[in-house]
Amino acid sequence: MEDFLSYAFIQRAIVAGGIAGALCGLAGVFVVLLRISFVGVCVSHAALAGALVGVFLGFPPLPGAMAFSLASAAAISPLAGKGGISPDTATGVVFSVMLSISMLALGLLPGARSDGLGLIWGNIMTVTAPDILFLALVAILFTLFLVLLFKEIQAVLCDKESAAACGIAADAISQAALLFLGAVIACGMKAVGGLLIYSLIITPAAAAYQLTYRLKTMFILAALFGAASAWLGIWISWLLGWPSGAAIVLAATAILIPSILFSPKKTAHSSLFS
Amino acid sequence: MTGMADKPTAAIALRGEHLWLRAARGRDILRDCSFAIEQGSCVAILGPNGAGKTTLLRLCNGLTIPSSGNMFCFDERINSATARKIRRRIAFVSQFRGMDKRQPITVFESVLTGCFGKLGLLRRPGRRERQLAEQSLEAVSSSHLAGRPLGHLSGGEAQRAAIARALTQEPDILLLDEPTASLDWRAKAEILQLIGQLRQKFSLTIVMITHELNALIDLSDRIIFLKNGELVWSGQVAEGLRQERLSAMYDTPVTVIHHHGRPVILM
Repeated sequence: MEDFLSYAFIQRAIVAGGIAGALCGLAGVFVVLLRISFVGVCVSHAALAGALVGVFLGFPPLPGAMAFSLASAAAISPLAGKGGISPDTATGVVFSVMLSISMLALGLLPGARSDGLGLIWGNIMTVTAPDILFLALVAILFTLFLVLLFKEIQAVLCDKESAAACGIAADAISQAALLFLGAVIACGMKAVGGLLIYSLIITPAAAAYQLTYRLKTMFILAALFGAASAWLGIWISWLLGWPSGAAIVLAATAILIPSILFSPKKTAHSSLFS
Repeated sequence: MTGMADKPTAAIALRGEHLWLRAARGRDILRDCSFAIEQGSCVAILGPNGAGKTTLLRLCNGLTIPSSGNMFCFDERINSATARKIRRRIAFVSQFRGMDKRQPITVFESVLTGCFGKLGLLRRPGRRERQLAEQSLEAVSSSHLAGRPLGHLSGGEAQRAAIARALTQEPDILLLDEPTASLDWRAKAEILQLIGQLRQKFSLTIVMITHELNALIDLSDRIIFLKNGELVWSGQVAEGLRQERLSAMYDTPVTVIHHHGRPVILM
């Protein structure tokens, strides 16, 4: 273990993985409670598309990922509000466009495409200091959002319509949450990969959801599970030589399964129906 | 509305002037609805499904903004700029939609959220707000439910919790969208009785969508009839609950008999 921790790239991976995992867990609470899991899928594919377009045009991938994921997060609800398209369909349309842009950019990339493929699979072992700085910045902003607006967030996550009806800016809160989701995905993509990042969003939050009836606890558990998944995944990846993104997501799933099996909520319901 | 001359001193809590809500295609959702609701009164909005009742209720607190016409709350015009502020004095209990049993919120926390809009940004609920939430739960006889997860409540209990949340808002006006929908007979009777009590206790102006015609004679002062997006009649309850009027409203034969001088509606 000492050996494992002595490498600078492993140390960077642990810091970046911890922050990215915790951020994904926090963003996942919104996805789970607002029931927008398809929106999450869509935004993560948009980030992938943006990063690939960035690489194709010769930019670093992060700004492209950021621009695309934020734009798609911002576009979905207005698109769903107009023209009689259901929100689900609107998301599906944006998702397919993003996926095809990803494929197009990947197809047009010259040479071995290792940069492009790296974005799809991700590799937390190649994280740099600026990547960590950016993650830390998003983490600070997201934490401020959660702490300062917790009561509004609680009202919106409990019942959005009633929150709006008592004078809370419910739409602005859920839009802001979507934008943070976009930012988290863009900055976490390098660690987990564009295809798998969504799993790290939904899985720790789903596990936390099984275990508590308190929103604050759910946020804390989701962040811990996210960070723990990242650390466990990095360790497995180093030990067995597995791709890091896949190892992280499998670690997250390994946390989810006992959460479902031993969920106090499960017991409560079984007794209701037995 | 007719009969306003009876009480010339009562202020008008809600006033709609030629409200239209146009649909992109097909029939307009609301067409030229005008009404005035006096402060302290209880008004029932009646009409068949699809008449525009929920839309009219949502116009009252600015959750929906009309395509044309004006909506006023205590003489302040509701538009997209003022809606959020005005909404703080209008509580809204939406139709019960069923809840996720695993929702991470307790009944008390949910009731407390009622005052969050009024409390404003960056201010945490303190002792006063917690007391207010406790009193609201007490007012709906549900203090014993405070620590329960919200999703574990029965339909009737959930409706009481929703009304408690509305009371925590300390509203002047209470809007109720079918408060007794999908409840059993006993829960229905209890909720309707509760609404009457709360109206007296908190001097509320109440606007309520309901299909409980037989409860109206005790509960409401006035009726607004909506059909196909048009306000077709409004007036005193006893006058509204006539056999011909109800049969025409619902396009189905309705019988009204009188029992101890009270109208009883049979469908």
